[in-house]
Parts: sequence; C-alpha cells; structure tokens
Amino acid sequence: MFAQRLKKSCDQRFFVLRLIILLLSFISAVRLFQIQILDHARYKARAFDQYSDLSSLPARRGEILTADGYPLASNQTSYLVYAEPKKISNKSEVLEKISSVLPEAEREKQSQKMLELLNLDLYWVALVHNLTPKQRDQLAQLNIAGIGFEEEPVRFYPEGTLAAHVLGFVAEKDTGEKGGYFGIEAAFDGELKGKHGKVLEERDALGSSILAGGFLKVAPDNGKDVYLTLDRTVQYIIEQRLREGVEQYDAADGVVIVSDPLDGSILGMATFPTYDPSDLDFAQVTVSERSGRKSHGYKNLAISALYEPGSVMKPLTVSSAIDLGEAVPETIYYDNGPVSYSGYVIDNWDGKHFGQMNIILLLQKSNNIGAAWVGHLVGSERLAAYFSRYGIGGLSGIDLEGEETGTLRPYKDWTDIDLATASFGQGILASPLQVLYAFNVFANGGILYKPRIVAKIVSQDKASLIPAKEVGRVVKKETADIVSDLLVKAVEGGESKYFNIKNYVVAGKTGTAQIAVAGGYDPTKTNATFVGYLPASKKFSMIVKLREPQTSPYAAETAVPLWMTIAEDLAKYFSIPPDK
Amino acid sequence: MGKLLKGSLILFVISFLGQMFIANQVSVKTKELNAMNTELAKIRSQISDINQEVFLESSLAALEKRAYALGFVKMQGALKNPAKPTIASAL
Repeated sequence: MFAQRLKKSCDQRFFVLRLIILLLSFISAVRLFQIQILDHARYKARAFDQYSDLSSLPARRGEILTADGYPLASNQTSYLVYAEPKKISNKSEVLEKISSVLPEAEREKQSQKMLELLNLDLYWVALVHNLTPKQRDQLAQLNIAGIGFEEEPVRFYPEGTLAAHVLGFVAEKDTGEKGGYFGIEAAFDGELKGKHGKVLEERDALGSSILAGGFLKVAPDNGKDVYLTLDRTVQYIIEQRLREGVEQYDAADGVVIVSDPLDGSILGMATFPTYDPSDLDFAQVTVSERSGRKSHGYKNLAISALYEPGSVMKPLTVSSAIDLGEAVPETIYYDNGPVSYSGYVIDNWDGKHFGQMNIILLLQKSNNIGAAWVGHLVGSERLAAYFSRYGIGGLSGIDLEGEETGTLRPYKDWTDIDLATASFGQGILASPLQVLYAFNVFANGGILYKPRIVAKIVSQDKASLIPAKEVGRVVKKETADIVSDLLVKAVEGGESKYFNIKNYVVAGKTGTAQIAVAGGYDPTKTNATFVGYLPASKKFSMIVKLREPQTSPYAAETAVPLWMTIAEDLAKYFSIPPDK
Repeated sequence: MGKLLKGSLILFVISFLGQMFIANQVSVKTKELNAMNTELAKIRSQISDINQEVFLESSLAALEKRAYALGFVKMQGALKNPAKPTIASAL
C-alpha cells in the first residue's frame, strides 16, 4: 500500500518535472526562435560591431616640386599625444614628463594649455600635435599611464619660406578635414589630396587582428605630384634680392616675377613680406605691417595686387599705333606744355617740356603728353581692343588660387581724358603678372602666352604634361621687333641709364604711378615698376614692383637698380654671355 | 555499435586536437603579423624622418650656409665672353 502510494507520488513529481522541463524547453525554443529568426539581423549587426574593425587608410598628399625635381611641399609623419584624463592620477607629474621632450621655448605655453585640457571632464583629449618621431620615442620610453599616440601626417615645406605665396598652405577646413588654401595647394587640392582607402578586418578581444578572419581592403589612391615650372635657384635669388630691395628702399611690399618670354613659363614669383607655410600664425600673418603700411600676408601680390601700372603701359600704346600704321619710331609730335582734355590738364611727370619730339624720345623721357597724343591717334575703340588683346582688364588664367580680375572700362564710356590717361597707364587696373606677360609679347615676336606655372602632374602610373599655351597674336612680328628696339633705346637713354648693367643690352620700361586716394592721387605714394628682358638671349623677362618706396618715389631710383641687380645674378646663373 | 562509438570518439579527439593546433598556429602567426606591422610602421616613420632630414640638408638655405662655412664667396665680377678658340683648340 505504502509502495503504491510512493510510486504514485513519484509519478506525479516526475510528471511535474517533465512538465517544467518541457515548459522551459518550449520557452527556450521560443526565445531562440526570437533571437535567431526574428531578431537575426539586429544581433548579427551587434556581433559584427564587436569583432570587426573598420579603419581608414589615409591617402598620401601629393608633393609639389620645382621644375628640377626639388620638393617644395612634402609630407612628414608626426604624432599627436592624447590623454585619457580619468586614468591619470598625478597630472602635474605627467605634464612635467611631456614638457621634458618639448622645445624649451614652447614648454611654458604648452604646459598651461595641457593643464587646462587635462582638467576637463572628458575621457579623451588631444594634448600636443606635431611631435617628431624622436620626441615620440623619448616620450614612449617614459611609460606614462593614460597617454597614447596617434600618427598624423603633416605638410612639410623643406625650403621654409621659399615660394610660400605660390604654394599656399594646408590647414583644417570647417569639416575638420585638411585642405589647401591659396596658391597651388588650393588650386590643385583635388589632385593633391587623393582618396582615402579603408580596411575592414576581424579583431579579437584584445584588439589584435584575427588572421583567419574576414579581411577587406580598399587601397588608398595617393595624391598626384605637381611639378612646377619654377626654377629653385631663380626663386631663391629673387626672394633674397627682393627682401634686400624692400628693406633698402623702405617699401611697403614688393613683387618680382621672372618668366620665360618664349613659352610663358614662370621661372620665379616672389612676394615680400612673406611667411613660413609650415609655421602659420594666422593672427600675425593675415596682415603684416611695414612702417605703418599694411600688407596682406597670405595674398600673392603678383596676381592679386591690382594697381594702375603707369608708364609701363606707354610701350603698349605705342605698339598699337605702330601696328596700325599710324606711327613709326621717327614720327614727330610737339610737347610745348601741359595739354587739356575734357577740361582736365595733363602734364609730364617732371614738368619739363621738350618741343619737337618723336616716338623714341617719348619712351626715353616717359613723356605723358606724347603718350596721350599717340593714344588719340589710335582712338578709344582700337586702343581698348589692343589693351584687351595684351591681356589687360581680364584674368590671365594662371593655375593659382587668388587671381584678381583687372579693370579696363568699356571704351564707349571713355571720354578724351580717359583715353589720354589710359595711354600712359592711369585709370586702368592690372596685376604685375599681366604687365609682365604683355611685355613678353615684344620679346617673343608678337604672341601672348598664358602664364604657365604647372609643368606636369604625375600620378602613380602616368604623367600628364601641361604644355605652353598660346593665347594669340597681339601685334605683327615687325611691330614687336620695333618696340623691342625702342625699349632698348628707352633704357639706354632714359632715367634708368644710371643703373644699367654694364655687359648686357636691356630692353625695358619704368613706371612710376601715383596711388589713388580719396579725391585724387597722393604724390608721395607711388607704385614703382620696372619691366624688361635681355633682348639678345631672351632667356628671361622680369618685372619688379615696389609699393610706396620711401627713399625715392621714382622707379628709376628704386625698382630699376633692384631689377638690374637681379638681372646680373640671373645672367650669371643662366651663363648668358655678355652682349656689349 | 561499440566500434562506431569508438571510431567517432577517436575522430572527435583528433579533430579537437587539430583545431587546437590550428588555433594556436593562427594565434602565433597573428602575433607575428602584428609585430611585423608595428615594425613596418616604425620603418616607414624612420624613412619619413630621414627624407625630411635629406630635404632640409639639401635646401638652398642650408647649402648656402655650408658653402660660406667652406669658404666660398659670392661671385662679384661679371661673366666674361669665352675666348675665341684658337685653330689648334678648334681642331
């Protein structure tokens, strides 16, 4: 009886137990169904997040090199030191250790900044940028808890300030990504920056990659290298001489451009004051001051400083008259005193008058009365058309960021006085680059070339050559040759003769243009320009422009001696044999 | 039945040991690979460092400084026209 009752009781317990097991199995099955079937995608994604690691493979930014292959802009590996403040117990000790690897001059400034960052209630802060590999190794050896390193490529300019205004610089954009500003860095940002790659791989709990796991790699498309037409030595010579010139003549700023007049390649382009693109101090460089006169630090004044070129425009006026058959070098006119146009009086720059004159003397004496007379001989419509063909009043189309458009008002709006002043380079705006390329027309037999500063773009598998580009014929070859001779005579018999280089024939023209101020022109503030070339070799053409020189307002006493000094250096560098 | 069980057990043990061996090998190779990657990054960084040094040393400012230190001076006079070749030298 007892045995029967015990068996029944056991059966009941087993039944309950089976029921519980069955129920638990059912619940487990339902839960497994939910996890594996219904929520499959969600859990798969969570698992993928845990074991997979997607990292970016940064593309190398392309280099910028001179025509002879020297790097002007390259890349270097530097390191970011980051900290996890919550893991650091003794902050002052950590700061002391980090400061010990920094240059002495930066220590105090950096320590203050780092202390502020470490006191923030954050899990991760970037402490110091641009650490060299050596500094990184020194710091790594100190084994500081809560400190780590991240590689960060930075732009490196091995030649320092050389060609800074041509190159531009790289800095962070609003998006946080780095990009080029100004010059080549901005104009060719798309080619230089390339395209980042990525790696998707599986990692274990310790963060090491699993060799047998999944692996997907998209290789980065590195940036292309940009070869310029600049000659490193020419650039170095003109920058050194320009700095000396600006300081000697106490100018606000200055520009020198050297080009090959036969194909439009730019061999050198310098602006002073300059800056170091790898050591940017935005507050100081945005506007620099010399003797109370401001100059925009980042702007390439060779392409952006529009000014009234003054007398350097006279050869352009004369060439249009000769090309149209309206004048020859011996054509006579009379300079018997100031002349009135539209109620305004025009006089010569020195107030002197010479009676009977011709076109040769016009350029030698830089005679305003004669230029205005020639201008009226040509007429507004034709003179404006010639100026336009010389590239005045537009964009040269140079491959640099920041070029400003010149100003040449429609000829229909010109009155007699506008035509007269335009004839000697007032009332129109041009950049030094435009003036130089207009003069190249005389050196190369009448052709206007587009300024060419990029020679080729080289990617991993191919090189794209950028050929010289002819814009078009401006004047007949005979006209160009005649004006070239006139420019030689202008240098030999003009104001610049006192500074001429001894062993070379020079063709060129001075330009001293007063700077417009409210209500007129300030006679004490001038732009002094000299533009010319060595007609025998035609190896280079060059413009020197100084703004507001204080030692003398005249180009003949400032821009000319500087031009001649540089030309002498360049003649030696190019091994041009003397021709006189 | 007993043979089948025995065979299965042996197969299980072999495959278990095999998997352990492979996992061990993979782990060792992964460590080696990570070490090589670290070494590669270090070498790349050293190359970049050396390149930087070469660029700086061959910059014109550095070359000019070294030239002055070696006693070179700036050329003062003008270039001279090369002398006309004599008949002997022309031959």
